[in-house]
Amino acid sequence: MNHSDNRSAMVTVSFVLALVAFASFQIFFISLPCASVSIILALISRGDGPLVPRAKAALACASAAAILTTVLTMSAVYTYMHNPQLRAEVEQLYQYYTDPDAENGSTDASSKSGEALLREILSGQYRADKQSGTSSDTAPSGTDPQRANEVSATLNGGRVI
Amino acid sequence: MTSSSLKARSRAILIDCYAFAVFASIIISVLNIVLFCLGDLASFSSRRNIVGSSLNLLISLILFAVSTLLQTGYCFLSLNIARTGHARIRDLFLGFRYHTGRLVLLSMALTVIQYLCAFPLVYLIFAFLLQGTRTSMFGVSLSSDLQFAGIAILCLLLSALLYGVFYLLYDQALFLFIDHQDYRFLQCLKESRKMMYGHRIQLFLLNLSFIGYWVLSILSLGTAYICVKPYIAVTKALFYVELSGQRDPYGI
Repeated sequence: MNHSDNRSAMVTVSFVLALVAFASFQIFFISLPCASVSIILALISRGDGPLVPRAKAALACASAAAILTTVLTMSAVYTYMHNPQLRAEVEQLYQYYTDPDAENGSTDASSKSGEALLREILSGQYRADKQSGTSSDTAPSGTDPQRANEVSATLNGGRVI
Repeated sequence: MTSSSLKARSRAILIDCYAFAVFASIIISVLNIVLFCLGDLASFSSRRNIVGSSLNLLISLILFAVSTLLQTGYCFLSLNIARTGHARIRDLFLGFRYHTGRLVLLSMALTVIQYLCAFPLVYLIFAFLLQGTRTSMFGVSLSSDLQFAGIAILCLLLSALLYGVFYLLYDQALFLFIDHQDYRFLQCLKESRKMMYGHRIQLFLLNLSFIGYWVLSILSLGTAYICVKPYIAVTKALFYVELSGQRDPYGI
């Protein structure tokens, strides 16, 4: 392969990585490395001359992907840190996946199955039921009323409904 | 010999052997990670007594020596790429073949100089982490955030000054050892000092010009560093080639 073939190959790889970064901008651990490597390859491919048009396109695409990903990730982290209800739901999900047989979990036959509870949380129905107080399991079965109030308080931003 | 001309030459050379340079960079990174894990394992499994601590220290020194030998091998590989446009993987292991003892001594001397230059910064970090000492630094009691910020800026400037004045003087010592393997380690340091007089600002600006690439490496959680490392290494090798007056026959 001669010099121009090598340069062309480098620009192609840079362009492909830029497209991958742009397509996966919602997944920061794929998008950011791909965007960074694409920018570096595009800059090195110019050698001792100017950037070729395809390298400029790769540079622009990778930069846009990096900025989008960063803004999106920071926005998600900010939302998570400033929304106690969302934090509580995520903690419940985490508890479900790490310790599904916990004391306030599905040990009683009358309580909902983990899958049903998860579906309710993801659809928003769980939060709506809690706020209106119509849920049949305002406290997980098998727990005492005080524990039920604590769970309810956590989900309602400190207010016991 | 400006930063932009050196970087342009480096890019032109790397286009033909970039995949090889990145592969060598990956090998070095993997070996460094293995050494780091071995060091962790040794410190974790060592007993908490004098014998255990001494053994742990000995293992740390051996791992440090191996790491510096690998770094020298990478410098040799970069120098070959800068001069001839190609290199071999066995160049990475140069330090294990010739004058290993002298090389380890030279690397230890450079590391001591590096730590001395970074001392104000290290003290600042420790003072910040151990919040209790924040109330008295350098024998001065600090009653406000403003005073602490002032001391922090002073430490940063002092570290930067020490780095610019002292450490950059000895930056070419490893390249000099590679080219003159009959030199003792003190002679390498002396020759590097002679070589760098009047060129420290150039090297400082060259290092500063890579800040964007460092930011990209951090943003990519370290992944892009494997791609940036060959570019920085070959550019620094070209700087040494220009300083020593031995132009590369590659003809770029």
